[in-house]
Amino acid sequence: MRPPAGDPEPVSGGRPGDGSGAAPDAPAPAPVLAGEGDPAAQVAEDDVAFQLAARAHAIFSEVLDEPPERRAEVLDRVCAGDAALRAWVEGLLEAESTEHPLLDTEVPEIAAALLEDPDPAGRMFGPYRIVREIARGGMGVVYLAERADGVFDRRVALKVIRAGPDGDALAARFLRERQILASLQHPNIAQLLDGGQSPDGQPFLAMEYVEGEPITRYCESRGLGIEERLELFVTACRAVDYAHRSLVVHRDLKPAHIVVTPDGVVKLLDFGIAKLLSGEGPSADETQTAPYVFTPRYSSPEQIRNGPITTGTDVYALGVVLFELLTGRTPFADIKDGFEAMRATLETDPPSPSALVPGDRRARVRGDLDAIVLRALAKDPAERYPTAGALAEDIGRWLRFEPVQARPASAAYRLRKFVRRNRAALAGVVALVLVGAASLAAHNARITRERNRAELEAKKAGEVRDFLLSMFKSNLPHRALGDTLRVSDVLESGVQKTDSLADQPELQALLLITIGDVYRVLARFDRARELFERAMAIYEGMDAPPPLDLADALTSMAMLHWDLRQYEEALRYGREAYEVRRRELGDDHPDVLSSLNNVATSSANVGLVDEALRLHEELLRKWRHADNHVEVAVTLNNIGVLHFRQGRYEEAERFFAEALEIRRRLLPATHPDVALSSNNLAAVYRELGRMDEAEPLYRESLESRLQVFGDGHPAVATAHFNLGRLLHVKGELAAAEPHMRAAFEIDRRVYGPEHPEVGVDAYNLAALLADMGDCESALPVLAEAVTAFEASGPDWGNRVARVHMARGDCLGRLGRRGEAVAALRAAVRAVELASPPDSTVLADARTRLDSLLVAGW
Amino acid sequence: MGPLPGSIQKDGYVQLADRRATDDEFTTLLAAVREGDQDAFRLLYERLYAELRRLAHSVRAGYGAETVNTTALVHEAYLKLAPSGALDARDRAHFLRIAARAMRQVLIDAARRRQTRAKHEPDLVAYVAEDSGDISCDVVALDRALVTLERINPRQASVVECRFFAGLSVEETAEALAVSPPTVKRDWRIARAWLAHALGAAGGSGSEPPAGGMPR
Repeated sequence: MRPPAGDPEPVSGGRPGDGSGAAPDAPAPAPVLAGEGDPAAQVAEDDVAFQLAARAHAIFSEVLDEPPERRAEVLDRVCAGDAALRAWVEGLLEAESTEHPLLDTEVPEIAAALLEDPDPAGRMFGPYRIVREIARGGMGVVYLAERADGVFDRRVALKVIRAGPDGDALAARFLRERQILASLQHPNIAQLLDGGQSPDGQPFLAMEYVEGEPITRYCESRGLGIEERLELFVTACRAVDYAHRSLVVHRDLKPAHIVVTPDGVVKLLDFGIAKLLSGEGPSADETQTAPYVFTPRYSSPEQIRNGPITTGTDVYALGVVLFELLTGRTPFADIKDGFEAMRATLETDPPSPSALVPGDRRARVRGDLDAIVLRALAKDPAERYPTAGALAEDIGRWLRFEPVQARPASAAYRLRKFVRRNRAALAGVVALVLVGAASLAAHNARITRERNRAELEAKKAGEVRDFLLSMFKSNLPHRALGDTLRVSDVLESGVQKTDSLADQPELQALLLITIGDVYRVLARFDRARELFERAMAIYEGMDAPPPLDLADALTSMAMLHWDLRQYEEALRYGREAYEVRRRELGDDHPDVLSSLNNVATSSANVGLVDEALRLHEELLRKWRHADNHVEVAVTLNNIGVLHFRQGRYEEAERFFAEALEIRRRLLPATHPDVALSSNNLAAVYRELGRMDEAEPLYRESLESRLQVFGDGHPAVATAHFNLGRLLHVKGELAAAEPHMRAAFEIDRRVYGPEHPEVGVDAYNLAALLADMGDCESALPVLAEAVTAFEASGPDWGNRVARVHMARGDCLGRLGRRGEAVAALRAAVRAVELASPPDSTVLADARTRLDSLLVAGW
Repeated sequence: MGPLPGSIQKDGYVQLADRRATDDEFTTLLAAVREGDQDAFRLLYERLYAELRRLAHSVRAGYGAETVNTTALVHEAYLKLAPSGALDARDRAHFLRIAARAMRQVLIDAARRRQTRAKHEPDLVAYVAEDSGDISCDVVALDRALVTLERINPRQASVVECRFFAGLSVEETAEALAVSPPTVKRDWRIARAWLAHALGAAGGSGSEPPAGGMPR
């Protein structure tokens, strides 16, 4: 059941007709819903009423696009004589323009209403009778209650818990914890008095009743200055520190739990409650895991990650509160999307508070207070203040105009870590954005695709800009921050700004490699090489360059040379990287093994085939042993290639097929590795003469790469080339031409006109044109092939000769005999200059020249 | 004129490796869902249902919130189940889609329970005073209408799950369903009218549409 409405093709993922069965716009599988079968679901498809409903729906969708004044007319025509149908559609049109109380209500309100339990006002909880509700917040609904047995004349805040552990468990835990909690007696901490459960098992906690408002609101409503705010905050910190020394961590500190009474007394609420509710054991162990109830905006990275909770968790939350006291907002408040905000808590450095403080106060916050806040907000608990007391003391120093202990130097450390974490992702995302921008195709679906891609790009560009901005924000000129900022500008700006990092050479080099990787993925090879070389020069100038950084740089160099098909160099750098990584990481570390893979593949390409096979088989064993199927597939593929090149096609088929099967199972359908495996298996089929099996695989590979890389990338050129050659061989010449042309044009733009890759493209395009009987068009293309091969050095002399021979053929066919003879002479000369000359080519050239000369007599 | 020796097949087929991805059970399940594995779908759906249900009730009861931000719950479930927090876009789309469906079920189940309770405990006053028990009836009726819409146009029903029940933005919904935001807007417009009509324009009554009504 596909939606009837016309819809543009999906923005990403499978495309129509790819047969993968995984297209993301396919209807979701039938849901597994709970028991109660709905009557409507049991109706047969041919049910008359259902047919009517479906027609009403279809007509309504159609009429909706008509201007209102034309609708009656359309309905007259479409519903002719069917009053029921017409009434239904008219009802739908009216509903469309009328507000609906349920459908136009925001879901949060509905959800709250649905999940709401009956109000227990007036009910008894142990000895307490509820007076009224006073708050909904913290970890339960809070009521004002009083003791009904008159033992104490005391009003309490009664917190009724409706989630978490059941009554028995909570009561038991309370009994175990009560001594610790009862011992928390501090003028700034609201005392926990009692805990228990109602007769029907609802757990509750009774606490000292405090009237007050959250510290942030208190400060705002009274317009307090920085010093007064900090003094209240320091009081809160000291109370937290007191609790920490009793081994109680709050775990849910936020303004609602740091209240100030009307007469200015700070009170911390709910101390120790989070742990009681977190479903944990009885111990006062400081490194428990997080409770599931927490407040995302104030949560530390370790809470979001479900990591161990320590006093550092409270220090982080205090940092957020301090941030809010200074700026009026939480660090990631600008990220409205809750998911993204939590991710930012994990990954993104918070902004400096001073950047968010208006005008006259900014100068006071900048520097020391920034440093204090950012230290409290460090991602790694070990980098934060060791205690809340230390945080309080540093603020005390600021208030006393003493130097603070927070060290701004750690900012570089964080930036460095950020870059390390995000290198691979960065390169990939930027590639998606920029490669897509350079498009030249003449596809039928071009318009649609470009529109979809533009949407994708706009989205990705936003993400990339965020990534890059956070990398370079301190150095970017402010005028560049507008909407017109382009990713390439940011990259170049990044390159420029690395100059200013001369005093931090490690970071400088790492940034250069990172940006270079982006350029390499974008096939901007010259720029990539330049940046890599600058990074290498920096490492060479260092006494002891960080070895793993150096290995990354060497790997990047190896991959660059690989992309440029300069295999000797790729092997040399790959070996160096391998040696460094092995020394640092041991024999079996995944990074070491992937370096070994690079060595093996490069070896095969410089003729060390046996060595390559041996290394790959060793790798296959190790990856299988490690159960790493993704890497197993890489290795299978590479072994398949070795067999392929030796002409052992049945062997190659076995390896390629298994690799493809694994990748289809584990990777997204459009993953480049799936395309690569399809391509390779297709090549085997082609060699085995199974053309009809090869073609769909080649097409799949091309489609997928177009989708991922856009139509200006060399991987796409390769796919065009292979499909074009196949069609050529099958005799489908007209169909082959656009593919061969696309391959040639893409490669010429990427590699420049003087690259052997371009020569190969040109030669094969010319061959196709000649076979189509269009020798006129073939000649200029062959001239480009000559240029490309001649510029590539004496190794390519035999190819130059072949191109000249092809020129001779074409010229001969066009009746331009004199030029043909010259071309064949040039062929002979080219072979003689080649190193080493290929005797078959030479013999061929001489024969052709002779026969032409003879025929001419 | 033949091709150059050895020039037919370009060596696009050897690959270098640099970085590797890690996968955990969650991503494996998602991958299987993507391949159309029904068991994996069911497993994932059940896990999400359980997680969202727990989160929904704990937020509602624990925080006693006036509103329950279902979007935040979906995001929280995501972080809980995918601790690496770094699924690729397609996996995230599948996740959002399944989560939206599970969220629908969580709310429908809550509505059904409320209906039942309202019958057994007529004396208790519901907290949401204005609508009292009506809203749960409405939501159950809405679910029934949605089942029919699902058969006519499954994608529009998915849009309702994402936009209405899970509270996803237009953009997130578009991502989840792999369609464009304008398509989401149009689908929502049609589906909203369809459902409003099925519920009866006045709302609250849960009445059936005219002309023979919905098939039962």
